[in-house]
Amino acid sequence: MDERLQYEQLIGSKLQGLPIPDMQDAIWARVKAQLDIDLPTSDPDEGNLPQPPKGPGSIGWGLSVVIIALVSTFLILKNKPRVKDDTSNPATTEQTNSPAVQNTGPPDSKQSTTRKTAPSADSNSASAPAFVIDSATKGDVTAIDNLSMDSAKSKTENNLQITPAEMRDSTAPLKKGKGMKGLNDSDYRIVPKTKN
Amino acid sequence: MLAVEENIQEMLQGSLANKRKAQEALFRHFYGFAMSIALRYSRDEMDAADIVSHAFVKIFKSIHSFDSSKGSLHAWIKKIVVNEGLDHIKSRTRFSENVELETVPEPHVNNSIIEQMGAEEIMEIVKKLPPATHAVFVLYAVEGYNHREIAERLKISEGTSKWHLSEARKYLQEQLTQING
Repeated sequence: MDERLQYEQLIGSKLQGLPIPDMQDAIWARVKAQLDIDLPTSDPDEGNLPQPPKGPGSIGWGLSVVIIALVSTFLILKNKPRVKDDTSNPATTEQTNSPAVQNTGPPDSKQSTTRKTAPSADSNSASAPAFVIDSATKGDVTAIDNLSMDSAKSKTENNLQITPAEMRDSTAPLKKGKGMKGLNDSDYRIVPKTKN
Repeated sequence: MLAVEENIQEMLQGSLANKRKAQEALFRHFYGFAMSIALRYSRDEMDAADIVSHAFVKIFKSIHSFDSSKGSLHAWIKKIVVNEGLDHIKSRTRFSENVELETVPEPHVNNSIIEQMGAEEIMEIVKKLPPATHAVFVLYAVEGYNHREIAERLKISEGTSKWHLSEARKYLQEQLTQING
């Protein structure tokens, strides 16, 4: 029983010559991966080097999502009051007919007012015409004049360098007065001339 | 031949120093040798790849225990791969201790049939043996171990080893007779 039979020796020699599958690289990759865990090498040239990231990775994706969210939130918040102003003050844009006022919110109204005030007006004086435009939205030019005068007076009292003339000029392009001053409707009546 | 030996020594020294390139060179040098052993204990190439990869991880982890005065590097690697192959078979089966066999009539097999067959054809028949019988047959017929050595390795009795060999012979005789038709 302990002797190898002739056919067994034949089988043994045949099995020594089995074709070897070409799996060298795949098996080495597995061996290397296991060695990197079990026997990490300190050699900087071989293995265990930090691999450069192939893609953005989870941290990269997370950061980009947060950045996009922040930017979009900022844009939404920035645009929100502007939309409110445009919808709440349509009369202003219609009445003033100023291109600077028509499409703008608070910063543009400031620009238009600086145009109407003296070029040397400082930041304090610029706030006064802004009040004039707000009151003009009520549609009463006379009231605007009174208000502007009152406000100009109060500003002058507070040592602001705004003259009433300047304030009146600032409202002038907003709306023109009808007809000539000093004339009323009865002056326009056509009365046939009597023959002398 | 001397250059090859020197080269193996370099790989060995590099592997002892845990150098990946030296380990890779050693792996590639012994890959065919290890794979040819692993294939005898496996059902397919994927099984053999598992055996080889596990064996080489063990080789590199325990390379400091290799003593060239006790035997060649080939013999040491072969021992590790065979052990890994047997562990692989053990994971698929349980070696029974209930069967004992002292004497058995030797089956008659026509050698010319085997001579005409290719290695892969023969391996296909051997693979069909039950795992434990497969292991005993390969250890006995291919690796050249005797029943005492097989019993020690597989932690079974010599009688059990003989019974498995007898079963393998009967099965192979049947299969080869069928082929002879």
